Amino acid sequence: MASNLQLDLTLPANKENLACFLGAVTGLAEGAGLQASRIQMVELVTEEALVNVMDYAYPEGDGSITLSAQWTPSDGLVLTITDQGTPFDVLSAPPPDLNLAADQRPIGGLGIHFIKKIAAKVTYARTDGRNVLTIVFAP
Amino acid sequence: MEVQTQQKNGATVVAVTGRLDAVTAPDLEKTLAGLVDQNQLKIILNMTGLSYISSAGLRCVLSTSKKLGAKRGKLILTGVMGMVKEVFQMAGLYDLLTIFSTDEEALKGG
Repeated sequence: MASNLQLDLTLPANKENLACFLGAVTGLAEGAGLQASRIQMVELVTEEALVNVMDYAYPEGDGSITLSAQWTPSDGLVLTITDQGTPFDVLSAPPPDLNLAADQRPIGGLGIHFIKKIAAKVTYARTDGRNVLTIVFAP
Repeated sequence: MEVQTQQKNGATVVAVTGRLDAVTAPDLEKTLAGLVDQNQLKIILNMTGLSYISSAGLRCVLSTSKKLGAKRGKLILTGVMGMVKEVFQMAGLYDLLTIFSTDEEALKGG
């Protein structure tokens, strides 16, 4: 059984850095001994959360994202995504209407839906001028 | 991500392999939009070689499906399995889109 694992990574908030962020998280998840199928879902949630920040947090220009990941056998995997961009509670967005036909569906909204569906717990806080999104995956 | 396109029995088969995420999806979107603009109205998107898809990939599929529908064309998906199938199901799209197991079945039935 792996011991406690921790990573902290701060990079500019643009999609060129998405692969690096995802590689770091999947690497930690592999080190924690998570199954491949579970790691794919962790990766999906991480991408969706990061891309929201990359697309919307810094409309005026450049900014950074800090991704922290921590794994413990007792508490599972906890991801924290922090940015200093526009205040935005990503969890307050309305859910997609899954009853609409394919051609009726608005194009957006799915990313947050996946985060909420896959993670055991998701919370948002605005603290010291930062958006802080905390995502917990059960052990 | 790699995209290979070929004509087969009056349809355009687009085989996508690798990952369809926020970085790679715009390239596929561009390829598919180009086909729709050229009035290739029966498109089979073969996902057999796709190992990962995110909402960006789903948006590309939905957007192409809508554009084709507007021109009375059709988008058919094949080889949707594993994590990719799970993501379509989570989005409530697996039962809404036209999906076949293989290109052959899609060409016959789609």
